[in-house]
Amino acid sequence: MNSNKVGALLALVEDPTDFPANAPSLRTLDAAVRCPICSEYFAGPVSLLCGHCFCSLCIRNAIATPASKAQCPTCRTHVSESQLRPNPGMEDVVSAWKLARPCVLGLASKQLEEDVVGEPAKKKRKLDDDSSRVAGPSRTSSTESTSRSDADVPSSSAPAGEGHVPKPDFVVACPLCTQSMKYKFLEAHMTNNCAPVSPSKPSAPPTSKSKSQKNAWSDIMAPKSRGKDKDTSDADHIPKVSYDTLKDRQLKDKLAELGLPTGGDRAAWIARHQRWSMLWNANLDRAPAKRQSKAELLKELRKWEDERAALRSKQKREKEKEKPDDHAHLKTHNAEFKKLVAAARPKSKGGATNKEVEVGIDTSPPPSSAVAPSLDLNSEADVIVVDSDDEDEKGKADL
Amino acid sequence: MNSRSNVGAAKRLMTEYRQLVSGGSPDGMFTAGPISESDIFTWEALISGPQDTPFEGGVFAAKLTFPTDYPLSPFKMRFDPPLFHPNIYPDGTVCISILHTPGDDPTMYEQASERWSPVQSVEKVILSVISMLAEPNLESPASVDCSKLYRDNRPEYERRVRESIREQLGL
Repeated sequence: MNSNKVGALLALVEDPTDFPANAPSLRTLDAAVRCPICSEYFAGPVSLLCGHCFCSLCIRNAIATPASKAQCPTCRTHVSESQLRPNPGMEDVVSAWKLARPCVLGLASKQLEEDVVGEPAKKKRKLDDDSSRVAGPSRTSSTESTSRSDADVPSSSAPAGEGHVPKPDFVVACPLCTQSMKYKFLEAHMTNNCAPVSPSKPSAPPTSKSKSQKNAWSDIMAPKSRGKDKDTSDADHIPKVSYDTLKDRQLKDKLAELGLPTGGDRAAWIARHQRWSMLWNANLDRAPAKRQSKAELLKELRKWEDERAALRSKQKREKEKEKPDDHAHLKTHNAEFKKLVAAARPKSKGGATNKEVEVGIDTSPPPSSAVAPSLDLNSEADVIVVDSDDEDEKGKADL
Repeated sequence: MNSRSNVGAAKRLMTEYRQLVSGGSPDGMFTAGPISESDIFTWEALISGPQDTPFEGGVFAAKLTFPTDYPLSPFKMRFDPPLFHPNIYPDGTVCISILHTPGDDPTMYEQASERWSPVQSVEKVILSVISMLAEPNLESPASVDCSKLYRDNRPEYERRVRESIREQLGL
């Protein structure tokens, strides 16, 4: 079952090496939009003060690990959680690349096949109506062509070239804010700094002039308050809490306030609150459309607690397995120890070799101290066995 | 069981493995991968001795053990059979700063800049170990006897290393 799981995971994993080796630029591109910690595409990317970018949850996790000393994993400058800033630009790049990837991948592998067949330059010329391009070495031309045709695909409804003007009723995407609208509204929309377009608005602008002016003023004067109205109060980041100053009840209240379970002991509450803050804040660093619901986050929290409990009990079991060994061993073999000591003693007195004397001294302490009894036991056993062999041989000789 | 307990770590290891397989190591100096399909958290690495060092010509096997919170914590690396080298403990465990977190400091001298960080990878660590084979770091003698020999009697050190390699290869 496990092996199935690993195999399935291996098949699922997408990584930069999906792209053929002769297109290193595509591999670099794919690697550039991945988090260096989890090696997956950035999820809610945030930038640190030093400018390095990570998944929000990854970097929060990394900072919270005590051994990391709160350093940027890449350049090791000091960071703190309050310095994390969402990087929506990177987030857009990631989602755009995710969309484009299968297409680019297909083109790249197709290109590879053509190269193998052996007539890359000819076919490319036919494909490209743009004659100005130089059919150079296959690598550069392949990346060029893929990026070009990739750009063509999603924006097929938009004006493709300079000479091509769409009809007024043609729906196009604004090149600035990507909102789609009819071409005849585009110019007005762009001169208005990408104001939201509703079909009724451009038709009757003069009547609502005073009103729109008011809106404009409120935009300028209080842009922030407007944003806050939109986000409800529970969409704020959870501030850092100094748990040591809180009493048990306050801590419990805090959990209840957030709608979290209050089972377990104080350590569990603190861990739960920390983890929840991390999940919650990381979720807020994503674009609103990509955020998870609270239920999903709660599910994730429960999964994390289960994993943690499983790991702990496993460690505990292993520790228990290792620990009592010494004492149990001593207890069960105590009688044998004594017997061996008694057997060794007369020999050491009766002009025995140095080795046997040493063993005789060694054997006396083990029952009291728990230091490496097995080793001592072995050495004794060896000596005794040799002795008994000797005796046996003597007996045989006598017989 | 391990693979279930942390999907994130497993995924990251898969990615590293895939990249090592398809990209290969620079100059083919080493290979690394999980020992069995069922456990992605235990790898074996085969490292060929760097050229122009006493280790040249040898092939060394090392076991890599990954923690469940990888890559937040570094993995452990142990040569099996142990290697005769100033920075390798007699039991084969490698002592190298890139495998120590900035928090724990067993040797009290290592720069934070050369410690483990989550952006490090198996490939980078093994490359560091290869350069450590070529140039031992006498400031942190994991194997004191070997360090003394290296410092006081270099030819004898080199002879012993070569001898152990021959032994390993069964020549």
